[in-house]
Amino acid sequence: MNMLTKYQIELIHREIDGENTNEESVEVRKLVETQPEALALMTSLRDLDTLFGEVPPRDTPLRVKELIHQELSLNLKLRAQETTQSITSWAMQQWKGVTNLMEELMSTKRVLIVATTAVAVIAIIGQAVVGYEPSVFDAGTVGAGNGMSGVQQAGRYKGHTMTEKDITLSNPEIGVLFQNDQVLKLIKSEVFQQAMHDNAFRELQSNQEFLALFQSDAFQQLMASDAYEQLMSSDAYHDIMASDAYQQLLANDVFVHLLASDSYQQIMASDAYHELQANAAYQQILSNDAFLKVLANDSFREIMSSDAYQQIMANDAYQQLLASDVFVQVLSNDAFHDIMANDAYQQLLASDAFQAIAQSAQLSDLFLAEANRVQ
Amino acid sequence: MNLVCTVDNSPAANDDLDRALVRRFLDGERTAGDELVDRYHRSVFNIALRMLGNVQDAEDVTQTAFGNAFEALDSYDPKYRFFSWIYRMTVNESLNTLKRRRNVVSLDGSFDFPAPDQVSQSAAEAEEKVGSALLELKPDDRAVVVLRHFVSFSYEEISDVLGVPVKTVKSRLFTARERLRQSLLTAGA
Repeated sequence: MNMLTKYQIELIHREIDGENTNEESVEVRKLVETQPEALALMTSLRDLDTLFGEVPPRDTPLRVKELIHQELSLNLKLRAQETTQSITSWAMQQWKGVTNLMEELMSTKRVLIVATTAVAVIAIIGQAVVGYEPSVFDAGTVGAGNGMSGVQQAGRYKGHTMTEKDITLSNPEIGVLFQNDQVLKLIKSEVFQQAMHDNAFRELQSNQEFLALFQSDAFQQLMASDAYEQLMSSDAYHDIMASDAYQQLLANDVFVHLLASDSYQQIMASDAYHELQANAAYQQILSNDAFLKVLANDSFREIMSSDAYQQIMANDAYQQLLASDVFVQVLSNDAFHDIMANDAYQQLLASDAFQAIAQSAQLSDLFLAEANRVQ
Repeated sequence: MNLVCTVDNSPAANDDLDRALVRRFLDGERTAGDELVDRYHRSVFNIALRMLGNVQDAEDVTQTAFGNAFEALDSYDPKYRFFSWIYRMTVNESLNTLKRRRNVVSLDGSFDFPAPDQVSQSAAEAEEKVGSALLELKPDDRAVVVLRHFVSFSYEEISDVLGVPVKTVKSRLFTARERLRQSLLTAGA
């Protein structure tokens, strides 16, 4: 039977914990000497304390320390850019909004998810809108109001096989293209001529998914937005697009297939994901200042949260395009990026005649030669 | 002439050092953040490990606690001790993990951290006994025991970390120890 009072029990516990005053310690010693129950409690609490003391402290696993230091580095870079909102939280929220698949994963492996999410977001927006500069929609370039109206929608060659005989200056559809100074300048440019000899690039011009995406309302809306224009004109965006690391990442089959996968949770469990983690370009881009600046860009954030972007993400054509080998090859082509940055390219792409020509290497050669004849 | 170099390891000196490191990190000095991590990662990991009884979860909590701490460093008030702040985040994240885990599958009572090879057999046995007994405690009581016996915190410090009165700390600690005494000592430990 315990004869100790509540006060005496507390006094003994406090003695074990070193919380007593000198006077209280003297009181405990007297208590222990005179009451067997006090001695028994004191002894068992000391034994318990000793047992706890025998438990060896564990070392933090090295990889955990490394991940914390990496996250610290990312945190510092984001701070340096004076972001008022946590970019990592923002990126995760955006991605969650897009996929609704991250909730469970967000609670663990924060760094990897943040990194992957951020890269996926920038890559997707990059692939979706790379080079299609909004200036084509500005009044006065070609036509008015609608940038597409500058080039006649011939419609003549839809479903119709174009032949060598059709590639002449006297052909009305081709004539329209060549009468447009901007388009002609693009076609005659060295970079375009070089790109047209790239089969992947040439095939893309008639790729239905590419065209479907390009012509979708969401895509047009996105490109016409002020936010998009501001993003496209930002130095940070151009820096990241021009970086070797970004180009390498986009050229990485594994990365592109990851983006095209149905489920992000499946990705996280996949071998491909683990392979990506070890990819040098992937790691490099995470520490790229321009990449972080793009993430912190207000326009970029606005685009990411726009309905238009959400629609593009859900667009079947976009998904198919991402999974297309042709598109992957084109994305790794420097010349392609130069061309895509040219306003006239959109006008050229709107031409059915050009799409038909692009289906054949031979017709394309004739087309380029014909363009070169125009003074 | 002999120069004697003394290092002040008093709690106040450590607190001042922590505050200085926080300030330097916020000023953009990366190494200051690294030093803060180096000073506390081991304690944080061990608190999480004893709270959760699972290495993988403890790793996640350690990572998350530091991530949250550095993300919210702007809101850190230097009048409080940095270690109280980071340990509070660790305990809270551990409690959140336990809640999430309870929603999925109850692992309370299962002990899952085999001792490393370099640990003696007696130490490994002590770890297993104590680890299993801790998991039988209520999480709030467990937090008090872990902070008292694995980080050697005073009642006042535990009160700061957990945000509860000292009276509550003592009540939880004494209750938990009574239960531990019964499960560990009367079982012939």
